Amino acid sequence: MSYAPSYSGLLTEMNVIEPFFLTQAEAIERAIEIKEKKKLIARQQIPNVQSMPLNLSAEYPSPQRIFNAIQALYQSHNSPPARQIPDRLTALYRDAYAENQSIVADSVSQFADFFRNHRDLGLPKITLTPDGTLRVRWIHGPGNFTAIEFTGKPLAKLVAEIPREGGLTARYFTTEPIENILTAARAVGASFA
Amino acid sequence: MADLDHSHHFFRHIKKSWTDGTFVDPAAFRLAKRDGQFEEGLSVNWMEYFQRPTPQESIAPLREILINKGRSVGGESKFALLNVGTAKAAAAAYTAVAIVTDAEELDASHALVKGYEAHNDEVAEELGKVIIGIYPAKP
Repeated sequence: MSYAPSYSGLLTEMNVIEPFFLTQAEAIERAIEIKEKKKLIARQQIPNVQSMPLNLSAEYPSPQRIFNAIQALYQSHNSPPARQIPDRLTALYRDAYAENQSIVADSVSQFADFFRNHRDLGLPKITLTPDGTLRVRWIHGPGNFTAIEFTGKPLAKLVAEIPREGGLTARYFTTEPIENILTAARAVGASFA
Repeated sequence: MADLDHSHHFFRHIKKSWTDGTFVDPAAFRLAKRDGQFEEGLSVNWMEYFQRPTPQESIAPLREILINKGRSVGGESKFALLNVGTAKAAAAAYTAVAIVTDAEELDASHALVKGYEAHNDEVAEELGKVIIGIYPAKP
C-alpha cells in the first residue's frame, strides 16, 4: 500500500503548545489552519484505489473485510450510476444480517476486485446464494442471461444461456479462473450490458 | 413419504437476500451442503395441505408454522409457488426428481424435492424458471 510520505513532522508542528495571549481572531484563524492541514493529510493518506490491493487478508475478521471491500468499491465507483453497485452490496449486507444469512468474506472481496477492475459492465442483479456467496446476473430476456458466482476461490462459477439461430439456446455451466471469466464468457457470446 | 400429486403445488421460502427486486435467484432452489453432505432434499411446503381457496390465503398459516418451528421469516422475504408436475418436468432436463411429503411434528405441510445432488446447480436453474407465483411473507 503506497501511503503518502510520513507527516509526523507536520503533526508535531500542529501539536506544539500554542503561544499564550492569542487574540480571539488569531485563535480562530489558527483553528481553521489546523483543520485545513488535517483535511490535507487525510486526503493525501487515501491510497490510489485503482492500484491498491484490498486489505482483506484472512487475518481480519469477516465483517471488517466486508466493510473494507464495500469502502473500496465506493472509492472506485463514486459517480451516481456507478454507486449502485456498492449501494446494492451495502443493502444486501444489511438484509443478510437481518435474516441471519451468512456472507462469505472471500466472495465479497472477489466481487469487489472484479467490479473495481471492470467498471464498464452493466448493472446486474446482485444476490446472495444460500451458501453466502455473491452471485450476479445480467438478464437480457428469457433464455438469455449471464451469471457469475463469486465463490471466493480461484475458480468462479459461470452460468449462461445464450440464444442461437433456429430458436435454440446454448446453455453453459462451467467454472473459470476469475481473471479469465469475462474473456471465456464473451467467447461463447455472453453479454454483460 | 408419499409423492405429491402432479396437479398440486408447493411453496419455497425465499430470503430477501436471495432476491433483487422481483428477481429470485435460482440458487434458492439448490440443495444445501452441511458438513460436506447434501441435505436430504429441498425443504418446501405442500400448498394443498392448507385447504385454502387461493395460494395467498395459505401464506399466513404457513408463516405461522415456520415461525413455530423456529425459522426466521423476515417481513420482506417471500414464498415462491411452483406446480409439482411442472417442476418435475423442468428438472427432468437433467434428472428425475421426487417431490414427496415429509410431515414433521410442528409442520404437517413439510415436503421435500429430492434426487438432484448430481445436478444441483442445473436443476436449481430449471426450478427457478417455473415459479408461478411470488407472495410476500407478510401479506
